[in-house]
Amino acid sequence: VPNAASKQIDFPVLVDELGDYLYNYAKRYFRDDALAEDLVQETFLAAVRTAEGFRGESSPKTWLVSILRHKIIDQIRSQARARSADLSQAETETEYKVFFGERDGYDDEWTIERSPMDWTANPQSVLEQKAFVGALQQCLSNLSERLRQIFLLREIEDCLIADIAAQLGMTETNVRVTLHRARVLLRDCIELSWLKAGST
Amino acid sequence: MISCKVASQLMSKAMDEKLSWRETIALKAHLAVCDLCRKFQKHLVVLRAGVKQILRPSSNDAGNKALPPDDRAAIEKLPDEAKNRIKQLIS
Repeated sequence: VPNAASKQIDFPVLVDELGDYLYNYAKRYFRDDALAEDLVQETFLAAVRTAEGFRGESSPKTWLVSILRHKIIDQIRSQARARSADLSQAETETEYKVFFGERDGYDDEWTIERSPMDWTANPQSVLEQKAFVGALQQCLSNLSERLRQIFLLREIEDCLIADIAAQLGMTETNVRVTLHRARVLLRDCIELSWLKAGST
Repeated sequence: MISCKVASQLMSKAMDEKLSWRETIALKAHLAVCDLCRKFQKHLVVLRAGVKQILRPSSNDAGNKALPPDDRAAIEKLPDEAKNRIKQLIS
């Protein structure tokens, strides 16, 4: 017998109310529109199947997002299996040469062109700057899908390194390397488009 | 002394996990003399806060409430076709 909370759920209304939100949530992880649509569809199908377990302790939105998150992680995992998951060590090293090189007789220092610049003393004021927020959005979408997925699992879903590694079949070392690359690239991209764009 | 590259790897790691005491000491020694890496460290904190501000719905379900509407991440619509298809499948 459906409980009171599940009986009250009007799923077609939820599609109208939360469909866009869930679609955007999925789109952060996958560039493919059709794939994002499928994930939203599967989320609703799973929700209908398990509606009796929903006791109204959280909002329908929280509940649907938690279903979608599982679908997203499953999808990332199956993509990871399908392709050679990780960038080779050699490729990563080549990429790093832009950022780290010989300087003043020392190896692996920040290169002059890509040295971190002064942003501002006060982080909050940076976050209120439209140009910074715009650069961050653009630079996030510039990251390769793979880097962005793992970076967002960490930053938005608060997944632990060990969990990401276990879920995606990666080594923990590889997860750390991936997160470091994402941060180095993102930071650099923001600086290029936010601070350096006007000065050249 | 560790290099900036290794220091940046440790700073990234420290955003996710507790560093070993060995790593902590090596990083502290490097940061004491490296202005560029101190900047990098601050930037990592700003990046994390920025990503959360843009993408994470606030606890009151209001979405990107901290930002004026025109700064919000562009909202893409789930196409009506998809909405209708889903409604048919679940009804």
